[in-house]
Amino acid sequence: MKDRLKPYRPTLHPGTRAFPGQSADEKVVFIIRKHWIVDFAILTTTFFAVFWPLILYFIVNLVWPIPHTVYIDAGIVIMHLYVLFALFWYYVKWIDHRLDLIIFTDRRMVDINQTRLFDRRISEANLAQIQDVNSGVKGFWPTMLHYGKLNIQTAGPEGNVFEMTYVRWPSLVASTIIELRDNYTKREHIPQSPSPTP
Amino acid sequence: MLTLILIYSGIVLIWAILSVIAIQQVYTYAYKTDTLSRSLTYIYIVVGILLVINGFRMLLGLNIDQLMQ
Repeated sequence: MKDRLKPYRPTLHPGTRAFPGQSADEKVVFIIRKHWIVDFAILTTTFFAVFWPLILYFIVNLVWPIPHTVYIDAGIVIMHLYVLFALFWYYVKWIDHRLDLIIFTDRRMVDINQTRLFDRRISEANLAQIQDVNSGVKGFWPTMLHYGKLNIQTAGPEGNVFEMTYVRWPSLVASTIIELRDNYTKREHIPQSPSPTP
Repeated sequence: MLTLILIYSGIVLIWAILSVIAIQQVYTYAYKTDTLSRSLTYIYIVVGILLVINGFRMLLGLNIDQLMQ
């Protein structure tokens, strides 16, 4: 059977730390990232937003050949700076999505939530604290491309909910998380926490 | 001419500092586990450096006297 969660399983050299704060004996089981459709959408937007001056220049030059003057050259230098900053803008936009991660190790889950370049939230919970995992796929493209929303509810005084959108195969991920929690609680002889009351 | 070079270098320096901060985050959270992040970051660095060099080359080739007329 095809392992649909293969993209989530990192291939790491022994002793390599996948994220800051990982213990030496802690094994990363899988890392949940957003679906490739998010990368595709951002990369397509980036291409047109960043390179439109270049595309426009070529089209205009084909129709009305642009004379080579010092003003055009100065404009091109300014365009270089525009492209540099536009590239940076979209790179950061892409990072905001790409660095939204939920990392599952053999003992805990770490949720890294990147909102902006200088705004990042990291939360973690022990695997035994996981109480409920929900998944949902809504809409035409999510159904066709198998992505959706994942909610992980944990026990504790605050009753944290870890949420992620654009997760590939969300129902499969949800059942794997439950399996991971059950294996962990069995291994560590931890009694299962009761499910949350609706 | 020197003023223009200084302005250009200053803007490029701001871009470089912001880029280093962004790349540092990719390096910390995704470098070892995500090939796509690594590849796109390399492309970003290479394209960025090429743009800076080409922009600088064009700036040095500008005829300032003609521009100021």
